[in-house]
Amino acid sequence: MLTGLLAASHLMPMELVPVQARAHAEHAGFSDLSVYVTDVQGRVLRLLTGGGVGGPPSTARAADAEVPVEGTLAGRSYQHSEIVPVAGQNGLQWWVPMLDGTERLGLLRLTTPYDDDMARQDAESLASLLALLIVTKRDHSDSYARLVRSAPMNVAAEMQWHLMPPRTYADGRVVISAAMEPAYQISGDAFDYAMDGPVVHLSIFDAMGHDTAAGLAANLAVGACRNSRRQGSDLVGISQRVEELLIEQFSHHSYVTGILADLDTATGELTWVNRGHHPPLVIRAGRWPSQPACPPAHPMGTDLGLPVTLCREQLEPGDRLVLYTDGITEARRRPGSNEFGLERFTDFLIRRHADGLPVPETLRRLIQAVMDHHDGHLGDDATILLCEWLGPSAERTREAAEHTGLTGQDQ
Amino acid sequence: MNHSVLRLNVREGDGTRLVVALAGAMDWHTAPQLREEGMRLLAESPHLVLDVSAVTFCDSSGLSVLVQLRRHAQDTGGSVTLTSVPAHLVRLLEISGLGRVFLADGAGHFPERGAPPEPR
Repeated sequence: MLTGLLAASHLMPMELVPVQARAHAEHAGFSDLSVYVTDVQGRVLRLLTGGGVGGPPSTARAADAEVPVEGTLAGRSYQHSEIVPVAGQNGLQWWVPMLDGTERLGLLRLTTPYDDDMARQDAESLASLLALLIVTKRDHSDSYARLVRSAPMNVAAEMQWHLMPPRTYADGRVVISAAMEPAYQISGDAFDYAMDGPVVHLSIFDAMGHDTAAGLAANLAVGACRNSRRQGSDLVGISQRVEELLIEQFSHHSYVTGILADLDTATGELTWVNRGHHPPLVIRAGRWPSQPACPPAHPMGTDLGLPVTLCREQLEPGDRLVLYTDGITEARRRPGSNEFGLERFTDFLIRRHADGLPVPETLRRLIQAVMDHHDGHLGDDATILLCEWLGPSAERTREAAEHTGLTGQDQ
Repeated sequence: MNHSVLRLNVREGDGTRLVVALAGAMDWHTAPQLREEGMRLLAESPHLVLDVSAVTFCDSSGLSVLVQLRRHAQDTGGSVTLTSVPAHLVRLLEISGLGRVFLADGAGHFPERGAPPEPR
């Protein structure tokens, strides 16, 4: 089943994935296979029909085209990344989570003749392969992009979502997860992370303003940061290079605040520079939030000439680093109303962690809570980038799998 | 959504130095107005003292205008300083690294916040 699908995948447009997947799944005894992908905000699951929204009609009933995440069995499978059985017309059906790495793409729905571990493993393998397949094709598929949007996107959001890495990553050393709202109307927020041997680079940026220029400034900041670190610059140098390029392009009319951090996963040493941004939050082994002291330098692009300080903090396994933008803690509905607040934000993270909720799902709920607090209208971008340090070994993945809700993982 | 309002009142001036009281929000909505009026006042008088005691809210757009006005003033041998800075604005200036530029005591302080680390 899998080798046939893999061989066929090289010359398969996104539009043919559902049909081909269904045909190959039948060799393994799974019938009625449907592929569902989640929308940008993780609120609904949409049937991949082969034509995107407005594409050729599928054989599915209209009611099956979209399933909400809240309050459904499909949603439970998505939120907890576990197989959820449902009684189907033709026998036992499963919702099977479809993950690329730890990024939740959506679900498969299929009818299975057997209800045993072997069948579950087969279903999970099929879901894994389909996830990889979809990820390789989605970045150049307009029909996919249209399918996963529930509202029109502005140009800045179009640029940022293409720029940033997947919202979840994990290996044996770290679990990284991010969330950003308003997903369709981003202006100047962006995050980035990358692995470089034992070092994990993490950065978050907030460009001033609420327009396309803010989006351009954020793009420039991420591009300059990547370019500079790939040429071997240290954090101070990277932030100075970002500043130079911002001044070159925007001549003091735009600035970007940010945190640039490196976590050495071999030792747990965290180093960072603060360029006019909210200080990072460190949550010690699930409790005791603190904001380690670190004098901020001026925002990148303001050219105020303050010294840029490299700060250090020793982390212990299980400690979590949280980078965020002011939209999370300080956004207000209107002048005078209450902000969501750092305390409530921290409390939410600690409680959900104690509940054992997977990190990506915690952030999805957190950002939903921030949105709800503001009646669904954020005045500013709100972004969180969370990184938990598990330990030095990339191969010991049991904990990473638990924290991301990944199931069926060989340990 | 309510739009925020910012009022500027010139309190005193001696030809080279103007003291201007700001009241309201320094944010995305009021930033263009602050930039425009600030530039006009700097044309009148090179040194501008902004009394920000009645500023209720300030975001990155507001800070950006302060930086721009300060740069403009310095280019022409003038200055922009803040006075009667309320606590919320002190915090914002310190977070953004601008405290050392705009606050009188210069150095700024960065106390460790939140609960102390768990003893190990």
